[in-house]
Amino acid sequence: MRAAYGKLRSARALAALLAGLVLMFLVPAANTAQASVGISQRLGWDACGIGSTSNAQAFWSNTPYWNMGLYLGGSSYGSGCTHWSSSQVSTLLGQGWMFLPLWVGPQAPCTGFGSRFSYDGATAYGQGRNEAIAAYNKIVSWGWNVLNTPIIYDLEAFDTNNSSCLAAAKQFISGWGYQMRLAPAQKAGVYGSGCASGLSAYATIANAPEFIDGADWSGNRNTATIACVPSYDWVYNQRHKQYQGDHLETWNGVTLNVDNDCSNGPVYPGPDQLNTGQGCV
Amino acid sequence: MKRTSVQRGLLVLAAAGTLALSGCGTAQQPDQADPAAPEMTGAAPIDAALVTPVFGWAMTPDQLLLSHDGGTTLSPVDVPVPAGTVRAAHFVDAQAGVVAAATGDSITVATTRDGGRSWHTTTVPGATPSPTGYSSLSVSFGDQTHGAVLARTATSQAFSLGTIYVTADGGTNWSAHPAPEAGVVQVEPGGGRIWLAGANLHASTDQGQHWTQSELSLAGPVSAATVSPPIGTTLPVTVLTDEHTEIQFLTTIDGGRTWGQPTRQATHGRTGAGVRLAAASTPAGPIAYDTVGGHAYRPDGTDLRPSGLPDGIQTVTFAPNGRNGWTLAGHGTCTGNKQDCTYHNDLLTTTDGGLTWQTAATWSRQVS
Repeated sequence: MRAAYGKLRSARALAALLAGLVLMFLVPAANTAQASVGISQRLGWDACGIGSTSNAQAFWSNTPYWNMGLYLGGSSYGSGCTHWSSSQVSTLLGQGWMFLPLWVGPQAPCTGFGSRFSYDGATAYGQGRNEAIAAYNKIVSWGWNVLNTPIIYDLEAFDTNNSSCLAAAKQFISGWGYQMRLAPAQKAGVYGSGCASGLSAYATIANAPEFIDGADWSGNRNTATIACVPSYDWVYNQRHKQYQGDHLETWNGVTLNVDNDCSNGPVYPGPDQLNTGQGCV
Repeated sequence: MKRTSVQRGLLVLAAAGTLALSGCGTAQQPDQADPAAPEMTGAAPIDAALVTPVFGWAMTPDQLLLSHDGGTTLSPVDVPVPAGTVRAAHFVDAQAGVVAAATGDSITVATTRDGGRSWHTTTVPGATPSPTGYSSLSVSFGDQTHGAVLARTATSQAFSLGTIYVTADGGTNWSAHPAPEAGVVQVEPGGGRIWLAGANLHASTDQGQHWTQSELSLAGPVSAATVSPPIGTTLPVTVLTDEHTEIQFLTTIDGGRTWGQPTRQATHGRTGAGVRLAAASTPAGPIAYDTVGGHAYRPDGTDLRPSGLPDGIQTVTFAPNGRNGWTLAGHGTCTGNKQDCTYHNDLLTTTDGGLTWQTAATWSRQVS
C-alpha cells in the first residue's frame, strides 16, 4: 500500500493513471472482459436466417431494438438458419447487441421432431446435462465470459397431457439446469410456449430454470403476463417474452422474418438496461 | 418549431447513414405516403390482393376490407371468423372468396359466393393439431371448389413445420395432412396440383396426401433459398449468398418436376432466410419486386424501375388486364437514435402496369 501510494506521488505515474482511466471509458472492452450478464428491459427480435452481420446492423441502427435472439446451435437447429462464426459474433457484439442465447437440441419424446430425448427419466436427465455441456463449449469457443452467461434451451411444444412425456421433459430440463449450475456456472433458461411447452411445470423441479423465455403471441409486450405461467413464478427479472410470432419487418432496406421479444431478464453481455419505457415491465 | 443547424446536420448524417446501410443510393426513400392518401385507423393489413381491375381486398387482424373501385375506398365487411394475426384470405373472383383464421389449435374457414354479403363458416378438423396452435396461414383456391389452407405450426424460428387442409367441395369438407414444411400454398384450377413453396418446392397430385419435392438447379453459392409458387413455367426463387440477396428465375420443361436454366438478378435490398421477394403474374410474364422501393425485375434481367414504391414490398398482384395492380408494403423508421420509431404500412395502386404507384391508404403504429 505504501509503495502504491508512493507511485501516485510520481507525476509520471499520475499521468499514466489518468490515461488509463480515459482508456477505460473510450476503448471497448474485449469480449472476454465484458460483464457476462445484464438485466434487459428492452425490445428485441429473433430470426434463424439473419444471413449476415450487415443485415443485423440494419436492424440495430436507428431501430427500437436492442436485444437479439442468437441461436448458438444444437441438433435441431435448421440447416437453412444462419450459423455464426466466432468473428461474426464478435462483430454483432461490436454493433451493440445484447443476446438472448438459444440452444436448439433434442425435443420432447412424444413429438415428431427428428431429434428427441428419451422417455427414460435418467437418460433424459443425462441428455439435458450433455446439451448444457455442448452449449457451454460453444460459448467458450466464441471467447465469451462464461460466468453467469444466460443460455436458453429451446423446448418446443408437446402434448403436456401425456404424463410420461412431461415427466421426461422435467428430467431433461433438470439435467440442463444442474449442469449449468456447475462452476463456472451459467444461468439456465428455457424457451417455449407458455402453455404447450409446460413452462410452469418446471418452476418446482430440482435445478429449476433460473429464467424463462415464454412464447405468448398475444401482441402484449408486458413480461408479467405470459399465458399459462403463474404471475408468482420467475418474478425477479427472470422473464423474456416472445410476444409476436413470425412476420416480415423491414428496417434500413433489410427485410427479415422475425419474432418480437420484450425482456425483463438476463442477456449477454451486460450492463443492465432498466426502466427503458419500452413496455416490457 | 424551428430546427437548429445542428439538428439539420444530425438529420443529414442520419440520412446518409441510412442510405449507406441500404446499399443503394436510391433504395431508402422517405415515407412516400401520398398526402392525400387516407391515414387508416386500426391494425395494418396482413395481406391484400387486387382480383379484378376494380375489386380487391385487404385483410387486417380484425377486418376484411373490400374495394369495388380499384382501391379508392376500402369498406369493412363482417366475416364470422375470430380476430387475430393468424389469418389469410383468397378471392377467386369478385364473388367467390375465403377467409381462414386460426385460434388455438383450430382453424375457422368462412366462404362467400356473393362478394362478402353472406358467409358460410366451417371449423376445420385437425387430424394432427398443433398443441401450441399456428403462427401463420396461407390459403389458395384454384376454383370455387378446390382449395387448401397451409398452417404453419407455432414454433421458434429454428423450425418450419406445417399442416395442410384440403377441400374439393368448396370448403364444406376438409382433410388434414402433414405438410413437408411451412410456406405458401397454391392450388391449380380443376383439382390439379397443389404446390407448396417453402425452402423447397413440393407438389401433390392427391389432395395433399403425398408430396414430391421438385429438383431445383440454382446457380452460384446458395446459403439459403426461399421459393415462390410457380408462375406458369417460371419459378422465382429468392436466394441468399454470403452477403447478398438475388432473385433467380428458373424454368421447367417437364411440367414442374425439375426446374433449371436460372437467370440471376442481384437485388438492391437485402433479406434473410424465409423472405421471398413478391412475385406477380402479368400478361407480359412474371415480375419480382425488390424489397427496397424502385426496383422490379423481369426474368430477362430488365429492371423496370417503378416509381412511387416504398421499402418493404410484401405482396404485389395485378388484375388480369395487367394494368391495374396493388402492392402492400411495410417498413420502419425512427426520428431519433433508436427513439420515436414508427412502422408504416402502405397499400399502393397502379393503373399503368406497375410503372408508377400511388398510395391508396396508409397505416402507422408506434413501435418504441
